[in-house]
Amino acid sequence: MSDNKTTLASGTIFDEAGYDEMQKAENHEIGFRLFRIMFFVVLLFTMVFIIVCSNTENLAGTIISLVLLATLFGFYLLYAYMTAKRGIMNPKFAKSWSGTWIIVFYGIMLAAWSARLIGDIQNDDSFYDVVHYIMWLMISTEAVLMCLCAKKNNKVLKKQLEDDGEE
Amino acid sequence: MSDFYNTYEKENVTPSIFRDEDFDEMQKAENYKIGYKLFKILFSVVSIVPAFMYMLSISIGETVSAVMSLILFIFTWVMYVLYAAKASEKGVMNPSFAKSASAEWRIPCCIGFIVFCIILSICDVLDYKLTIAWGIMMVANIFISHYAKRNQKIVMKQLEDDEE
Repeated sequence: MSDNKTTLASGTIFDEAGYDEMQKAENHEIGFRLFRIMFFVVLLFTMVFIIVCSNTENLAGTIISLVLLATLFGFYLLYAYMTAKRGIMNPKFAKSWSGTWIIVFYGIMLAAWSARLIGDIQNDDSFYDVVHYIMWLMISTEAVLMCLCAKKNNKVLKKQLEDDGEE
Repeated sequence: MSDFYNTYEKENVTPSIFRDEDFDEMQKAENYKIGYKLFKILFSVVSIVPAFMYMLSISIGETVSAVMSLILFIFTWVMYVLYAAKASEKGVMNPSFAKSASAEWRIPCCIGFIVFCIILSICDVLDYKLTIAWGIMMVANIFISHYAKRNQKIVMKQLEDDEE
């Protein structure tokens, strides 16, 4: 059944049906390296896009670029969560991001930006004036969630070490 | 200076989440798998957004955002071509995709389509901004077809080597 599917479907370029383990590993390495580049370039581009669109008062462009920024952060966090679940987050990165002060600091930032945003909305400020607060809110939320992922990674690693010790 | 910088970087600077130098082979493989899966999804998402943004910007006459979304659009296609180039270099491009993309008629068809779009935009039937977008896609397709052919050659060579 599976073979029939492989033979019949033309498949996208990313389809890896019929690959052996070696081919899959090489393919995954290529994908991983391109993911890194793509993430950083698109992130930088989106931030510039938000600033340009909000300065030119392009409503549609601003909203779409904000959604794109949220999506990118979503991917970043998804990557962090998936690596943390397996305990394979970069150890140095996980160590520096697992500090409780990060949650406290960015939690305060989150509250401050939210207060500023609500205040400006109540003062009938235009959407373009509050775009930067929305951006900072996203960054603060991302940092808090990243800290939680790093903590999870450290827990998983600790458990793995304990299990190895017991064996 | 370089040694000092390298030592300083390794010991003192917080590395990026994507660095995998200290990982063993098993961890690297798992990490690559996650990255690959996310790349597939990210590519699909990011390729739709600039195309949509470009259409929107040209319809409301926003030149700056049209140019920016066009740059992002080109970037996503460059990534696609880069993936095809890297996969074909190792002969690991999807066999059925490589087979259909390496067909002889593909490159002349793409060139023909570009010429057709240019003629339509000269005759004012098609907006030249759309011709640019179609042109980018067709050029990318020409590159992909070229890399698919290279992939087939490499796979064939590998098979011949195995037989020998």
